[in-house]
Order: sequence, then C-alpha cells, then structure tokens
Amino acid sequence: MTAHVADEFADIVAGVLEVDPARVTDSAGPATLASWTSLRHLQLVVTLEEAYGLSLSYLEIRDLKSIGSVRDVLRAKGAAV
Amino acid sequence: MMADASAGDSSLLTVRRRWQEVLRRQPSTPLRVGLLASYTVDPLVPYLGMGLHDAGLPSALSVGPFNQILQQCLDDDGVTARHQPDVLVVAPRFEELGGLAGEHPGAGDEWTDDLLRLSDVALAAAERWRACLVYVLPAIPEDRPLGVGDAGDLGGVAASATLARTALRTRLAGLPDVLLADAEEAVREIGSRDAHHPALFRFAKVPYTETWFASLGAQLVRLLRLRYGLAPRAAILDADSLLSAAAAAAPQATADSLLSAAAAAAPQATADALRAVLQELRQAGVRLAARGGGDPNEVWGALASALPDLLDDLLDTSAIDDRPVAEQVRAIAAAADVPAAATVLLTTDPALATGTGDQPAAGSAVLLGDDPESWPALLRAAGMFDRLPEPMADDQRGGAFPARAAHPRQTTSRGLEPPLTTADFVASLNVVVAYLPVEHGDVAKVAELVERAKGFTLGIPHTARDITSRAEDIFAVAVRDRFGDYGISAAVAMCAADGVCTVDLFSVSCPVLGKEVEDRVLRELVARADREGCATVVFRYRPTGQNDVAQRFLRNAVARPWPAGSDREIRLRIDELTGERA
Repeated sequence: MTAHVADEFADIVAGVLEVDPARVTDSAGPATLASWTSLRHLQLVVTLEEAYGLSLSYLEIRDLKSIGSVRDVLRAKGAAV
Repeated sequence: MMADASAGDSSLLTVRRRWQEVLRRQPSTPLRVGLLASYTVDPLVPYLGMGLHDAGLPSALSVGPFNQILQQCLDDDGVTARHQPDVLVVAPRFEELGGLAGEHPGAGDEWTDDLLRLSDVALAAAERWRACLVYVLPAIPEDRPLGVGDAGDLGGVAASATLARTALRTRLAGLPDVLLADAEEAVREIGSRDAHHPALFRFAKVPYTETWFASLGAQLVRLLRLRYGLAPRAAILDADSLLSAAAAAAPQATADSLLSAAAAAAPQATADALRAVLQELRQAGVRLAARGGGDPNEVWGALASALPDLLDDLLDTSAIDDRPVAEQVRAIAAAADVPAAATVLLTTDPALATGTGDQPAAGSAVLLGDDPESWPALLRAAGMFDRLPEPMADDQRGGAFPARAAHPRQTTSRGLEPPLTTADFVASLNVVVAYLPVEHGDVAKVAELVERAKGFTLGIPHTARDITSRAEDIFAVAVRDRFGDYGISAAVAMCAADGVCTVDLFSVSCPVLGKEVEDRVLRELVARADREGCATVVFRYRPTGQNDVAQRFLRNAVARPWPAGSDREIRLRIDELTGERA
C-alpha cells in the first residue's frame, strides 16, 4: 500500500468525520471519535461507496465498528486502502 | 449552482463537503426549514441546504424524529414546532403506511385515507406555525405482489398509489402557501435502479440513494426559489462566448457579416438554437439581457445580426463594456429590476460558468454545451421555465377534481381544525406491546437493539456479554401495530434491592417512538418495581449528546405522581452520571 493510497483513505474518512487525518488509525472507532455518530456512519458508508465505486451490504454496514474494520471490508472488495 | 443529480458521485461529495463548510459560518437569520418524513431523511440536508444557500436563501434545517410526521404536526411543543419553521417539508412514503395494496382488498383506499389525514394534519400545523407547507407526493412503491401483472390490477400497487397521489394532489394543489413536490419525479429522473438503497434501508431506514436525495433537494430548491421570488427572472446572454462560437465557425466573418456567417450550417444551427431558447424564455416571462466585453459596436452588430427579432428586449438591460462580469450582472439585475440572485448567465465558457456559480449574490450560470439541441433540456433542468400555478378556489376545482368532494377537509367556524389528536392517532394504530423474558436466542437481538438505539437510551453501554450475564434482570418488549410487526423494539434492565429499583438500561428503537410505547413500558416497569416492594425507581442516565429525548421523557415522568396500590406512591428519580462513573 502506498502512502498516497493511505493518505487518500484517511482524507476521505477524516473529511466525513471532521477530524484530523492523523486520528484515522485502525483502532479508532465510535468510542474514540466523538463525531462518529450514527448519522456520520451513514455518511461514511455512502462516501466510501462513491469514492471506491462499490456497494456495501447490510451486514458490512452494520459491522463497520472501527477504521480497521472499514479497511478490511474495502480491501475484501478489492479497494486499495 | 444546484446539485445536479445526473452529475458524478464526486460532485455529490463536493456538495456535502461544501455544506459542512457553510454550517460553520451559518448566518444568524436564516430561512428555517423543518423536515418530517416517514423514513430517515437526513441525507437530504446537504443538498437542500447547499442548494438554498446558492440560491440566495441561507437556511437552518431541522430534521424531525423518524416516522413521526403526524405526532410532530400535532405537538406544538415538539422539536419541529420549537424550530419555528418558515418552511415545513413533509415527505411520507407508501411503504410506511402499511397494508401493501394488491395484497388485500381495500388496502389502496387505506393509503388514500391515511395520506389525506396526514396532509390535513400537516396543513393545520403549517397554518398554526405560519409556515409554508411543502408536501412531497410519495413515490409509487417498487414492491408489486403481482410483479408485471400489477399494471393490469385495478387494486394493485401502481393503481392504488396513483389514486392516492391524485387525491393528495387534489387536496393540496392551489392552496395558499402550499407547494407540492414529487418523489416520483426524483425516481424518474435517475431511474428506479439507481434510486433505491436496500442495504442502507435495512440498516437505518434510508430507502434512497444519495443521487435520489440530490434530485429531490434540487426540486425543493427550485420550488422554494419560486416561493421566495428568487427563481430565474432574467437570462443574461454571454455574447463573448456564444457569439464567438458562431464566428469561430466562419473565421473570416466580421461582426457585420455574422448573419451571413450564420448561413453556414454549424453557425446557423447555433444561432437558430439560441434564438429559439431565448424566445421560449421570453414567452415564459423571463427578461432577456446580454453581457460582453470588447468593442460595443461590434458586439451590438453581432447581436443585431444573430438575434434581430430580440434586439429590442436586449437594448435596455444589457452591459457591453469592460467591467468585471459580476459587476455587469449586478448592473443588469438593477436595470431589469430583479434580485441579482434571480439572474442566470447563459454561457459556453466553463470558467465563466464556474466562477459565477461561486458568487450566488451575482446570480447563477448555465453552461450550454457544444450541442445546441441539448440547450432546452439544460435550461429546463436549471429551472429557467419554472412557474407556480395560479391559486384556485375550491369551487373552481370541484368539477375538475371529484376526489376533493369525496374527501372533504375538516373545518369549523374557527377555520381549519386538526382532524385528530395525538391520542386519537395512537389509538388508531392498534399498538400491541408484549413483555418477554430474554431467552438465550434473544440475546443477540436485544444486544443489537441496545447498541443501535442512540436517541431513546439511558446512555450506559451494555455489551452482549453483559446482557447474557444478567438476562434475568432484563425484559424485552415486542411491538406491532396496524402498520407492521417491529419485533423486539425495547429493552429494560432493572435490579431491586433495599426498596430501591435501579434501572440502567431503558432503550427504545426509533421505529416505535411516538406511539406511546415508551409510556407503556414505563408503566410496566413501575408496576414490576411495585411488585418487588420498591418505593423508589432510580434511572441511571448518562448524556451522550444524542439521547436528549430519553432525558426529556424521564424528566416529565419524574415530575408526576405514580400511585401504587391504594395508599402510597412510587417515587421516580434520575441519577445523572458522568462518563467516568458510568
């Protein structure tokens, strides 16, 4: 994974959650990022779908509980993040 | 510029990001817009908000609780009423009305009755709150029990929905301060396949895609521009780009000979297309003007050659000089006596279109593409031909719309009355609540409910393991009503000791809020505490920033007496915790 790819992913997530990209670490989640509300969760889903041109299922959406799990789901669908 | 639903997804992301920026510098006296829908309508906010902002109508938007249109409209102390909306947007869906047409006789009639009742309550609320009502006609559902056979079923989904939509349109069309939008138009614009998001609907009751929300947002913006006098009222022809396009096709042509240059096939088509759209705009009541730089004599000569029959319209309002474009636009707006935000620059210069679009005070722009045949569609999409219908009296409409007579509104000598109360409405739902022990197989359902209930919750985290380990303290609540079976929709954990009942879990899922389920669960909880010999019930509450609704509910509950037996009362108390103590 290139730094550019990682930066792009962090920028997208940080833009939706309105946090510093440096805080977009794999362990970060709703418990550590106060702005990760249920509404932002929806925005994160649609933004990632748009940015990477993919669709998430109900279970995948439900199980996005940390940045690490977001990466895992996107990678499983072939996105370079 | 308004969000273009047909634009790529990156443009939708840009709109959402711009909206976040706008929210940070919100003006102090914006247009207050309240949104009520039977589904999760939050994704509409950035598109509606940004579109209004760009149209010169900076706004503050408030989204009411999920699927509580009627309850909010009946409650003058509810979150929507307290927002004091200038504009009340109401957007129901057939799917939340229950009783799928085509599955049993009469379901279609129920749709009509439910929608009309909803519209009457919304209308009454808008009148009390002195708000403009924007009612979104619901889209025809996709789910058809007969599949392709639905088209030939008079009691089917499409037929029933069409009848209900017509009855609703008949009820509301032409009423003062009522605007009608149409969710079906948004589906039609982008196509059914791209309009729905089943996974997001299952997860959070968001039935539609971002593209659909962008389309509906653009539609609402166009309506509200009309309502507030900011619809396009002057079209400014960018002579520099549009006339040079014609001249470029005939490099030897001078301004004086543009007409002869236009005789060549390409420039002739361009000139004809330009003339046609300008004439159509003039017929629609739009003032015409031109802007340009360079030598005024040459530009006017080119205009006279290309648009001889429109020259009189252009003479008094045009700006052909060396001022900056934004300044020219403002001068044209003043000369045409229209707000600058109601001017639209027609250009083939992308830089000019984008630059003007970022300066809404100086109007917006429509970028006319290379193909003149696409220009009328572009202008329609930009709302250049939008007009509101003339208001009509009831007696004018009665003959044309029999459904109005078939479903009369409830009025009294004091005017329009709400056709029912909240209690009437809840009673009509036939809500059935069942209290269940948490069996092994229910733990996952209860845990998911507890995790996802963000609004009505005490705010104290409970994992699936917690729930398993103290299942005997917990009761689950299953709910159904005439609109559907919601399954396990609430959960309570209570522990009695030394005459005190402590409650640290009281979560209710959004879809059943507003049906007095929470009231019934609280009564059950107090009755159980009474049976345990408790004189006090303590709710351990931790504010999360999202659970105000639970706090308000508990504060009201604490403030009233709770008789137990014949000679005593149970006292309720809230023990508010910090994050650390929780």
